[in-house]
Amino acid sequence: MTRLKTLILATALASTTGFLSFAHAGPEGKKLTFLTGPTEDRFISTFSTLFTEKATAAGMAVTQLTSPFDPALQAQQLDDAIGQKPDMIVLQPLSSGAVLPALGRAKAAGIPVFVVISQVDKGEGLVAGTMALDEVRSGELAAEALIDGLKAGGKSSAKVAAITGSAAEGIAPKRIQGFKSRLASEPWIQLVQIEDANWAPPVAEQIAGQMFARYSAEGGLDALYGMNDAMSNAIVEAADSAGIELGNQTGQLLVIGGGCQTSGIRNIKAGKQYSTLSGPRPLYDTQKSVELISDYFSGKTIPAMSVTEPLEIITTKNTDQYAEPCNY
Amino acid sequence: MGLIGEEKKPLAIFGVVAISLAAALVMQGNTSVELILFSILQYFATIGPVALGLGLTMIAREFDISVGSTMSVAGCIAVVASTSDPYLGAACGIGVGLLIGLSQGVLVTGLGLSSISVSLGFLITLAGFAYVVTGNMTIPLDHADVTSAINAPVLGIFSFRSIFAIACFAIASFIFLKTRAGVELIATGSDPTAAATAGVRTTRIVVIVFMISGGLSAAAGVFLTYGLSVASPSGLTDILVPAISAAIIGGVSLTGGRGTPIGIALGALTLCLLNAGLNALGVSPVAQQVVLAFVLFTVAVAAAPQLYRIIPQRS
Repeated sequence: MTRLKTLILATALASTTGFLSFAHAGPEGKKLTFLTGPTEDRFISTFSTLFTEKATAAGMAVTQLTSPFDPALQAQQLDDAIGQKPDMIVLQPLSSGAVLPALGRAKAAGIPVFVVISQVDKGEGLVAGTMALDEVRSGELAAEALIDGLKAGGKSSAKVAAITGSAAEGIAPKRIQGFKSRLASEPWIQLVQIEDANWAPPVAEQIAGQMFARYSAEGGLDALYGMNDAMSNAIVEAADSAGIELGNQTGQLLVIGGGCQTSGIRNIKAGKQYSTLSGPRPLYDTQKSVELISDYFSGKTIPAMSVTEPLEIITTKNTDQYAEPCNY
Repeated sequence: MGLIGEEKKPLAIFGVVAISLAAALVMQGNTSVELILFSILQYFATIGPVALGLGLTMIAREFDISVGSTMSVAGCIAVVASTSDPYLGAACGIGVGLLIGLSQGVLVTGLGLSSISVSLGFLITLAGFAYVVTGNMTIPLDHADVTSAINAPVLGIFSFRSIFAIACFAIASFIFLKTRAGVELIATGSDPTAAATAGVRTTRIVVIVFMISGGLSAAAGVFLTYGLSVASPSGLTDILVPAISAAIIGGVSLTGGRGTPIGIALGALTLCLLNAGLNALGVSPVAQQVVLAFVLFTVAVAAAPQLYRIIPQRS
């Protein structure tokens, strides 16, 4: 009987200790394994640096593994990360579909996964939370900026094109979806071509040059959407090389960007680019990610999806407001 | 044949790497042995069969640089053809790989073309073909049961994919050591003219090794695609450099006529150990590249003929 009492007391004490330790749990001392794309990419590099700084300041230890946009390698890194048994895996999914099996293994191993930068489609129940851009809205806003710019130039009909990131999956298809759906309600605008530059500015520059040559006989393009500012900057350079004037007047090319990067702000100020967007912003996104992860470790419920806020069009009217947060 | 002698160097490198990483992981306090071994073998399942096929072409003094595109296009075809039956999809993918290998082998031997030129042409063409097959879209595999089955742990550390890779090496080693095929492959790679004079059908050997290379690359691509539940036209992984590295670490000579399947397996395993072990230690990918480069450089220096003229030999 004494043994039974001792056992019950020990169990109760252990349960209480466990409960108390959970109640006082927080981000301090937690180990994060952080999986991203290549840090040669300016956005990923800035995001990684800021995220590591902020997570470390919150008392967490971050081990980063990068992959050169290689979904199979990332899936293997996820398995390696599971083997390290961290408190959480923070993941920039390089392929939404290819990470799903490994996410299932992480769940089976009891390791929570927090997704950043891009989303995992059909990831319900497999990820603890996501911090990313509302990509469809981003595409819609790019189209709105394009419409505003053309209307401001007095255009009543226009031929436009888009040069995109990897269209196979992930971010770019969602932005294209938003871009196309918004333009669909403007029948005076004709979307004549969408080309995949795989997020590579040199490829974007080459494609832009080919587009200029192709449409020159038909009066040229009125506007060109580069899916991020690095690509819109490539379009600007291609236009400069081809002697095409930039702007929204007749005979000029209107350039629309996105992604809130230094080159976008610089080109807008120089009058070479009409607009960019206020997201994604590494400064905001990393801060929010670390807050959400800290909340998770503190036992709070975090939303399944969090997005960059505010997400708005940046033109000459508000470049000063975003000059600092978009400085990367 | 002295084949075991050829495996001494890769075995020594594998041993050094394995012991170093095991010691580092023990010092780090990482006890997830089963998970780490599973991860190592999963990576081995991806690069092993491709390294084996490529290594065999290298032993035959040829070079199949189209392995990455073959892998990618086979995975895409398998997923597209797997709508009703994943086995049919896999058969189509692997069949296309064999056909690619056969075409390359025939072009190289029949027209006397350089295998690098031919396989470079295939690499580019197949990369474009993958975009056509998928319509430049990532295509999900609609057979979750297949994905689960292909990745499910067997005895804790194996999976269907890794067992397939190990089986490939076991069969290749048996054929290499126990039949005339091994001798004829070495002879073809060492001196094709002399081998032909001695009665070796070098043309047939070269065509067969290209078919094996195409078939194994395709199989690796199909199983990787099924394992990741998605086919991507841009390729799911960068395979060429790891496969060449594995073959070289495994003792395959770039000038042909040297190497064994067991050596290639040891080379691939060394690479997997480095990759998974350094990941488990949290070493940055940049540092991992430096470590891999150091290992390759060491292997290259150890194989340098001039080195043994400089180092005094024991009498």
